[in-house]
Amino acid sequence: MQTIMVYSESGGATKTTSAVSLAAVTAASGRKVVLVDLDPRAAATKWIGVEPKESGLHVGAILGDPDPEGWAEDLAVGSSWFPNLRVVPSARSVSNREADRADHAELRLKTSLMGIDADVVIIDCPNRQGGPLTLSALNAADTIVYAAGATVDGVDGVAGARRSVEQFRTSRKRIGAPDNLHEAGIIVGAVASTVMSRIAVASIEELRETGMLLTPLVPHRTIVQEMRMTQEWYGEYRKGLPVVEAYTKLMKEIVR
Amino acid sequence: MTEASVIKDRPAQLRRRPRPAPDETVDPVDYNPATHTQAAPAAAPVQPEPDPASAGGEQGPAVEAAPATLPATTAEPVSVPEPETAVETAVQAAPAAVAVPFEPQAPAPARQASRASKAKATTNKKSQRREVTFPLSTRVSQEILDLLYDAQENEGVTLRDAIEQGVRMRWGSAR
Repeated sequence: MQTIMVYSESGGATKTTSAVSLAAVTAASGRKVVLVDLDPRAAATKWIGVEPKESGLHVGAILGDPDPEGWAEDLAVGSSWFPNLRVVPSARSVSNREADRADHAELRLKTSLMGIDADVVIIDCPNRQGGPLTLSALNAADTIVYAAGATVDGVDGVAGARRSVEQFRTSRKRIGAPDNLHEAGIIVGAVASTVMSRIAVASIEELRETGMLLTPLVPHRTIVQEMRMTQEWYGEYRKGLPVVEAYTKLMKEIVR
Repeated sequence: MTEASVIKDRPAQLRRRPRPAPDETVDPVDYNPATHTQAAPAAAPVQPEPDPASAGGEQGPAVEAAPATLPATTAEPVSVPEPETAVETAVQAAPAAVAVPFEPQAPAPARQASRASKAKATTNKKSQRREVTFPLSTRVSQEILDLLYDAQENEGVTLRDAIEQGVRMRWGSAR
């Protein structure tokens, strides 16, 4: 099983779009996928239109319990998009976990994934500079994908996220823990490719200089945002196909 | 010997079922002072000194007034109250907090007392909620603007009243 976290320290950097799209195209390829929505804003949960099986049984239950072994399997709910795509939903109260100072709370998400029936787990992270939620994802994941828009904020969000990851790795090395976190690269989403602004060009160049830029760049299509209102998969519409095509190519780079 | 791959962690019937986080019903930004004053010492009401000037090195009445509100606050349940309940609690607590330290020296002005009681009466009745209004942003001629300001100044009507009266006179009421 591969666990991928999609991360940036900037808001609006296409984290949720990338996480949901990667989950959908991976499911479309026939793999069993579980998308873990770790963002208290619950944007991915709202987009896919899923509800917890029972009140309170979302990712906050996992993070709020000292022994959540195997709970991700119990909490994952099926989606109407693909039969092999399930979601561990999020909720606003997940934000309470950011004040949780319990010992080893950052290992609970990883513990909950034990025994899960999935080939790929994708974690949609909140835009936090470290902290319990980000640490939970870093401990659970073996692959990290940075998401960025072609903007100054997008570049800044990736730079900050890489700093957090570097600190996490340094801490792991200090205690002699294995370093199994693979940085797959940077996805640049919602790129207005027809008329690209100077800022967009400069931002993409700056991301390219990291040596981690994944291609192709994901083109901007209005239908992607529109689908958030209708809770549908944009891949079912002709106008969304260029975006699906880009994410499918990226998925082949990222998913083992 | 049994292979490691078939060894299970624990019997299935002993596996813990998922349950919501203990603070699931607590909104992350819904700050409730009641929960923070539960552990506050001395729930007994504090009697203020009749003459603040004779207090010497002690703190003034404004500082002492703070614990006086504690009993009322700690009596609240720990759960997050409804917004209207919170308003009601605040309105009820406010006169006590103000009146206790200052009453010996000078009673609260009648105007303040009546305002407080009026606020309590109006904000707690669902039937008297504020009317729903909508912003109207448009440009008008200098003449109309002058007329509106004149009406506001001379007759004491608000801009909203002036506009609504004019519209109703010309086109009637939709109610």
